[in-house]
Amino acid sequence: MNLSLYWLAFSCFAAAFVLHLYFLKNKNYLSRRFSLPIMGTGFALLTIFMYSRGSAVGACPIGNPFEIIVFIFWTSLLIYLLVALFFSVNYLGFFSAGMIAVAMVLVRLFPALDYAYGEGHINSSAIVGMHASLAVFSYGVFALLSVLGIMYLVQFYGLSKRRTGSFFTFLPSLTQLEHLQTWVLSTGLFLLTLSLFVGSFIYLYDLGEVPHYKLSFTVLVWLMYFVFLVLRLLKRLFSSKYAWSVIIGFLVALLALIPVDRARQDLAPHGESEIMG
Amino acid sequence: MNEMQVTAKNSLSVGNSLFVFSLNHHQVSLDDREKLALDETALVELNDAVAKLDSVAEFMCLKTCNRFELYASGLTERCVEEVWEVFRRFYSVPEQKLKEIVDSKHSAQMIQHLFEVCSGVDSQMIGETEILGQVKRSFEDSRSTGKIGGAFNRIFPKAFQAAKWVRTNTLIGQGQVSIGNVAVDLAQRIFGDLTQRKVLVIGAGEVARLTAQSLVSRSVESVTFTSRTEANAKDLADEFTASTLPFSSILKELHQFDILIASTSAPHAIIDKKSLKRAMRKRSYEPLFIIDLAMPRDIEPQAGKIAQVFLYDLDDVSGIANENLKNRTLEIEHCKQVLSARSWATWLDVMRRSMTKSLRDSIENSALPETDSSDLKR
Repeated sequence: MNLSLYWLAFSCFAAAFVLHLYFLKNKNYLSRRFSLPIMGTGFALLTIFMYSRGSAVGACPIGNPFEIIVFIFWTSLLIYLLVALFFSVNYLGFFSAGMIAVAMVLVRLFPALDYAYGEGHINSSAIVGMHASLAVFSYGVFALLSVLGIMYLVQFYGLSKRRTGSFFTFLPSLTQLEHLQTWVLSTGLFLLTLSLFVGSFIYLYDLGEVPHYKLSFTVLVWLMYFVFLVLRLLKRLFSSKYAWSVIIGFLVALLALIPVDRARQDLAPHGESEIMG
Repeated sequence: MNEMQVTAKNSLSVGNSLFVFSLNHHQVSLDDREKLALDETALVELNDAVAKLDSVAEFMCLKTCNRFELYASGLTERCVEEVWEVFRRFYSVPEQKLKEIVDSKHSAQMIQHLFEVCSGVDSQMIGETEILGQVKRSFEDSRSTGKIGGAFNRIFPKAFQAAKWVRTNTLIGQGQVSIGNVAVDLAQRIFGDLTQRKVLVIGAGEVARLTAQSLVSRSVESVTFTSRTEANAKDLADEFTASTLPFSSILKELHQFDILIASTSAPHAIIDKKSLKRAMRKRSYEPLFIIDLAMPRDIEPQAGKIAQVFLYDLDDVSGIANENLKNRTLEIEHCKQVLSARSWATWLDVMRRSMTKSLRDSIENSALPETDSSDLKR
């Protein structure tokens, strides 16, 4: 598969990140007027890349770990663009661009993740595709949530260690970041719940096709974010503990993708025609 | 021919006789500045006296807390001396002494001085922004009363542009340097918008008052004053149209406030960790920002370890202010270089325009009799 669009998108994110760094070095921050078009171009290129992949398999391109990871970051970009369009959250673009650029390079360091697959289980029915897309979409939201968690910790560290400077001044306040985290967490959990709701039909009507270990891990991830949200709403989880929870939570959720991917491989029909890779 | 020479001399002298007399914090101590400060009546008289001088093309007086300056542009070489004669009459100090303390700058140096003043580079509080507004107001006042002519109309807007550029592109205005503004800066890093935040000020000292003033200027929801001497708290509350709280009720009502400024002269801590923890539980661990400006401290230092309590003492706040001031001071040379280049360009522009105008006037004046004679021939 041609990766030129992928790398073009990467160059946009890398450029946005470097520009942010340049402004940061000059004790300033890159305005949304400049960062949004760059990030938007990267998003558009990544969308075309994903679309061309999807066209090849005739479904949402989440057939292997590489595609899943790219889809996750595509989603977090989409949410970032929506947030950035309506709210002024300084440095969210900087952190998002940095995270996505690094992730795009890292994921290509393991070409085996982009293995060939055919019209397997995911593409076998619309309901399965919808379930999987919603689940991966919620992961994208959780990725953005972890970015917000990192931003919170940076501001918190600055305040605790009496650090000053324009970087900390321009960084959103703790209260704003905490509110945004809760909003993003609610959105992610809503999407994951919707995904599980759709997935429950597969489980109910096609019991044999859902391995128990996959079900357990998925429910555990959902439960983890549900507990985070409940504790947050009850004001039992706050400040740096909340930020650490959503960051570690996202890493746990990413690890849970391993058994989920294994389940898909186990269930892939024999003799499928390889169309990717 | 004579008329032609006068016009040329006038135009060229615009550039040659640009000057400023400045009494500012660099040469004059605060005590002396207080003694030398001109009251409103004297200021009006000085303006009138300078306006009457035929040698002055345009002028402007600038009066702020830390400086009094008279900018002028002359039509003749004698302008500087004539304005000085008027200027010195308003000060009851020997002329020699006045010459020593008045900083006078001419031509390109005057423009550079103006650029530095507008940018806050020359201010006592380096990088402050208030000065730009003060210069703009003075300029507008002078323009509306017809004291400003062609050269100042070029120079002052250029100075405002340069000030804006410096603030945007250098570090001269970065970081807060007063305790009140440092407190506001920190509060904004915790809460963002302060319009829904409640402030409690414990103690009625000057530092607490100034800090409260900075927070009030950011439109906090409410400010409450409390002091061991109730009358002092009442006075401050009246000043800020705020409310008061009995000193004995502090611990009971602590949970209602988001920002706490403490600066009493109590010999021991008045808020201990245990009481603060109780208050934090009551406010569901919503962030609480405390600035303890008292010496000895009013808040137990261990209280800073409670989750969501952001406790800063006098050393912390002063440390931040000093650090920011140091950074601004380091930036002065960079700013001066930039302003020097820009002021020089403005100076050349003023000179070029002045010379072009004088040349045009010369040509017009010399062409006029010929035109008349040709008309007569017709």
